[in-house]
Amino acid sequence: MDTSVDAVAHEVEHETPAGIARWLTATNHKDIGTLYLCFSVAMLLVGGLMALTIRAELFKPGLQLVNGELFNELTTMHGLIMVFGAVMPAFVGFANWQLPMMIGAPDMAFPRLNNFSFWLLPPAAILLVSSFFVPGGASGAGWTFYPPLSIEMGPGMDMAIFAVHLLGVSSVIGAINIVTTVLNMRAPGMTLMKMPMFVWTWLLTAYLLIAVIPVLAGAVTMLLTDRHFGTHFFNAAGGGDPVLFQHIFWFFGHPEVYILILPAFGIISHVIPTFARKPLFGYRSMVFASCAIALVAVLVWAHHMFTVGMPVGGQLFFMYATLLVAIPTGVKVFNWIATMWQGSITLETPMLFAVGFLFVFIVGGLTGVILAIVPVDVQVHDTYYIVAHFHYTMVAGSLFGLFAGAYYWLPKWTGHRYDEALGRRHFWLSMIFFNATFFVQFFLGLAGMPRRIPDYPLQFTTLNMISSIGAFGFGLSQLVFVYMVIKCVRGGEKAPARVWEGATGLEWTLPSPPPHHSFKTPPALTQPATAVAYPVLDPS
Amino acid sequence: MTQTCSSTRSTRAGNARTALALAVVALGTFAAIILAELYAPALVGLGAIGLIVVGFPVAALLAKSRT
Repeated sequence: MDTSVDAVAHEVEHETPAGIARWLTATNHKDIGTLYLCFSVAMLLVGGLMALTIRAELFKPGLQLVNGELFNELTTMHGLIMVFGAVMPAFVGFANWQLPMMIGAPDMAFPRLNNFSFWLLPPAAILLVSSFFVPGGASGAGWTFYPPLSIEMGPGMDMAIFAVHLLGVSSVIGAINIVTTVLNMRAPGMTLMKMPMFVWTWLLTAYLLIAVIPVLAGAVTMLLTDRHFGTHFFNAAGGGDPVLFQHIFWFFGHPEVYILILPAFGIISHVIPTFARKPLFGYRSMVFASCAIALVAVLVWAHHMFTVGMPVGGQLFFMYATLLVAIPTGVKVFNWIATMWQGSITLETPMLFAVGFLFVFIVGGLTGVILAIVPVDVQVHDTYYIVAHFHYTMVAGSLFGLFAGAYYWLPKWTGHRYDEALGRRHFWLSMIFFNATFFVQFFLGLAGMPRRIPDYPLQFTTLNMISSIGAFGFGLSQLVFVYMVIKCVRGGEKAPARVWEGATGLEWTLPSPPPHHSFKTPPALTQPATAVAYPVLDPS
Repeated sequence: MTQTCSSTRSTRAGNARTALALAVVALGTFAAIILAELYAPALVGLGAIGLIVVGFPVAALLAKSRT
């Protein structure tokens, strides 16, 4: 047992308060991780309700439920809430829970900053949701805030800009905490090339966040000064350049896509080896592929803007650079499949979601390759083909990755096994209804149905009905997940320290649920962290 | 293994230095993007920021690759 003065003082200092004070003043990485995950689920339901309203409106042609203005507001807020309120905080929740346990650290580097970082989120969410009730309504300029529309909108836009500032500050502080924790608090002997893949992908994600979130903050700050302080950065009437905003926004926006998918890659890189009962195939190539993806992520932004009229040389550069992303991504997919090859595979829910992730992410990735080709992109720009493509990468990619991770680590976090039958039902319902919702949208897009329009010609009716029914099925099947989590938290079969037979890594050496401070004394490693499997450490 | 007071202090100091460097990069990028739009031709500004964004993680990872 650790009896140093520091350790004793630490114990006294960290007596956990009870009730609401525990959560308001939380500095423990697991408590803050739980807060992030609960917030994320709440935002997922809010953003999901907006999506269902949009799909209900699109069930048949004509205007039924909402007018055009509210439709635009709903699509804007759905995007902002899902990206900044649901998926990003969910991954930060995973990082908070897992990173210290995976690298052998007692907690995050800056626990109080960690608390501050989380508590910036609820005010931002309140700003976004309450903006529906101010004069002029919420921002309807899309999650991309393109001027001139964003310059001309009402106070709802200011609230959205302020919310983005808060969310950005939260993300940057969180990212600084993560990079510092990973670089400075690893267990002795855990070199960078011995780190688990989830830690690697989060390290790269955090670097991307620190690099590109300030770019978004700068862009929306300039938008704010254009709106209220007489500047003309993007206001064409005053000599500004609206296209410049698009360049700056996508300089943030494209890496943001990888911010949302890289941690999912990390999760999948743990789940597949566990349930294939084999080490991850090509660990080093996976690390280098992740680095390559993060690097290329900041070089391809203008493929979102092929139709604004850029020179042919620019179009060719961004087309080839975008096609390059397929190489490291292909390496990853190859390695995941090679890991499964001749493995002793069992299909528990985390593995179902991991395999499902592979299927749907490949569809999203391949359609991304198609969209990188300039002439094709020009044809399908701003159609439902784009909507389908990014939902295949963002929903199926990020969300299925999150579900795989949630089922994988939930027994470790709660100390209880989850209901496997419910988990399987959740997977199959999600898989079927997700594809029903979005696969048909590829055909709608190819047929020319534009996005962000509440009405459409009669010939698109059948596919839109299928998509809307799928959306309601997909939304309702997430309630199965919420019920399963509540059930698992409240009780169930006791989970052992090493929940899965094939699981490796330091987190499985701790009891389930883990003690308040994960590792009071750092474990010394002589082998890669993913080779650590068996001994259960004494939590005292 | 038990962490001593001095090693805890040196870890905290190291953490503070890392966080400070990262915060400077974040704040610098935020300021640079606005100043570039105000004073420099757009391409120069975007190019300089692009170099920071690409160069920063590469340099940071190379510096830490020995540990």
